[in-house]
Amino acid sequence: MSGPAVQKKRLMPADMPWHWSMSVPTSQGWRIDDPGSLIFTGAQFSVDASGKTLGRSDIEVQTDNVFTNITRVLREAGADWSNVVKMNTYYVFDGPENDATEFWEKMTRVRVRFYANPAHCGTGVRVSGLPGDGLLISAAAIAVLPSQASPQG
Amino acid sequence: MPADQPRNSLMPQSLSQGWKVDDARGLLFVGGQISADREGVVVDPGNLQAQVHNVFTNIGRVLRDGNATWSDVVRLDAYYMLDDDHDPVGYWDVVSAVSAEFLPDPGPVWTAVQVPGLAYPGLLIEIDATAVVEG
Repeated sequence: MSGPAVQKKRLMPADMPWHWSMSVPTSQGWRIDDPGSLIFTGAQFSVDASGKTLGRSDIEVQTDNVFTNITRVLREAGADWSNVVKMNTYYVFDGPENDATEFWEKMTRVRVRFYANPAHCGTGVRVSGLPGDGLLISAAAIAVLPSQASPQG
Repeated sequence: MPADQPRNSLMPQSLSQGWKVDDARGLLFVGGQISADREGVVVDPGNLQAQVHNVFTNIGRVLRDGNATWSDVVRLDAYYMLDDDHDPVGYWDVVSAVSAEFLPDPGPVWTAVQVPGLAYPGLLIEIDATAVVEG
């Protein structure tokens, strides 16, 4: 995509004491100045056109479907993952607590296949349920695009 | 702050009911902050006060790198797990007391969502922030 660079600054404090449990391109924050267009995707789910759950009890299949669906919404707005600045992922995990990290990493290995590098910042939220039978994950993104009226840079 | 708005006494008293920002120049998103080390190992497991302090300190680091301050924060989203040591009142007393060390008064709007767990066992709270810098 050509066009003027968005006024975006990735925020990765040098003195930040923590990182995720695996290597990810995720950022700690983004500052955006004079945004042109803001894009909010709705929560995406692993369902077919009739609303039937796809990949029941398979977090990898469901994650792939959810993130593919987000890609579709971004594309409709002329955006891609490099334009995403923030996202929230909501997931269901009801196994033993000691397996929580392994589950999160399994899900995250699929998520990062979609991410730009460097990627948006994000928040992962474990929830007790999602609106659909057997759904394990839902996610939504916020993206920023340069103004359509801006001169080509 | 609608005068006739009921409010939740559990939540930090500096919280606002809404903010309108005119002439927004910069938007700042802070990803969910947790109390962990550089390998993703939870720091201060089971210690709510310390975890809240670490989370707010980490949010402050991102704000600083984005040339923003706590006064620019318009919204905090908190995801929290009740532990065995606190009932909801005691839990939010701790969060409110620690947050008061960081937040201006009036402070941002808050959402708070109790969750069945967080990414890593031992985490009690994760908070992300949205800030708007005026031109």
